[in-house]
Amino acid sequence: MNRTIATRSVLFWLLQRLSGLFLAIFLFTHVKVLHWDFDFTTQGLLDFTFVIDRLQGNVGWSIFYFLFIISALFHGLNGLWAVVLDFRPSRIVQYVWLAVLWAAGILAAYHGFTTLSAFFKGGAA
Amino acid sequence: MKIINVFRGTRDEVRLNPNVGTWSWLLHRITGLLLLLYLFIHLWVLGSANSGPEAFNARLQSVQTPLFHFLEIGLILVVFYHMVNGIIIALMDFADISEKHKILVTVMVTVFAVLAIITFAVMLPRVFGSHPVTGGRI
Repeated sequence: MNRTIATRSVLFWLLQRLSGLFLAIFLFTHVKVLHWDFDFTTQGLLDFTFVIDRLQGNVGWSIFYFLFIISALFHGLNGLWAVVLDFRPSRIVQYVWLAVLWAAGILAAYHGFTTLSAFFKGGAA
Repeated sequence: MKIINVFRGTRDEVRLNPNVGTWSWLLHRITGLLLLLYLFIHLWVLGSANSGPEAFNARLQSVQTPLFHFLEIGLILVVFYHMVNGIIIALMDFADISEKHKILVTVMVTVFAVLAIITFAVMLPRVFGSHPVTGGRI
């Protein structure tokens, strides 16, 4: 293994751990607010108004979800990359798979940020 | 790489090392894949906000049926398992305490059990309560 690949592997290993620890905080907060504290039997179903009341113009929650989206996509897709590497695919499969994961990540991130932006503005752009 | 070898390799790993570490590794992988799949579905559901409030409400309502509320409990348990096991992995990596793996697994199972009990206590009565739209129960 050359030095560049080794350094990159260590960096991605570290980022996987750090994004995981960030996600633990994000997910626990998200679960508590929207799955434990929110009670649909007394408050009704979640809808656009509920989300807008919470997110429109709210910088704190917007930063929270911005970092959440980045961490979740990186952690999930990098994890999937590691799963596939365990089965020692050929070099060509690795390149194709890496390209697919990057494309999926960039598209999903763009989609997530657009959605978050719509909520922050109070409606579709 | 034949796709069948992927499953054979995992099966062999479990057969050769049938210990708690192997099972937690396998469960971490399975829950991770489930969560990644859920993340994309979640982004797709929420992304309907870009088409306006009506589209958003329609799509969101379709995933808030009594059945989905029941499945939501499973989702939260998957999240907590992956989260707690992931924290243990990070602790072993950063703090160099892998020789205390059995103690860490005991702690992990205990924390997971507490979180699961809270989840069931909070969410299960709602699932068996009256649904605000359909009025039905699961």
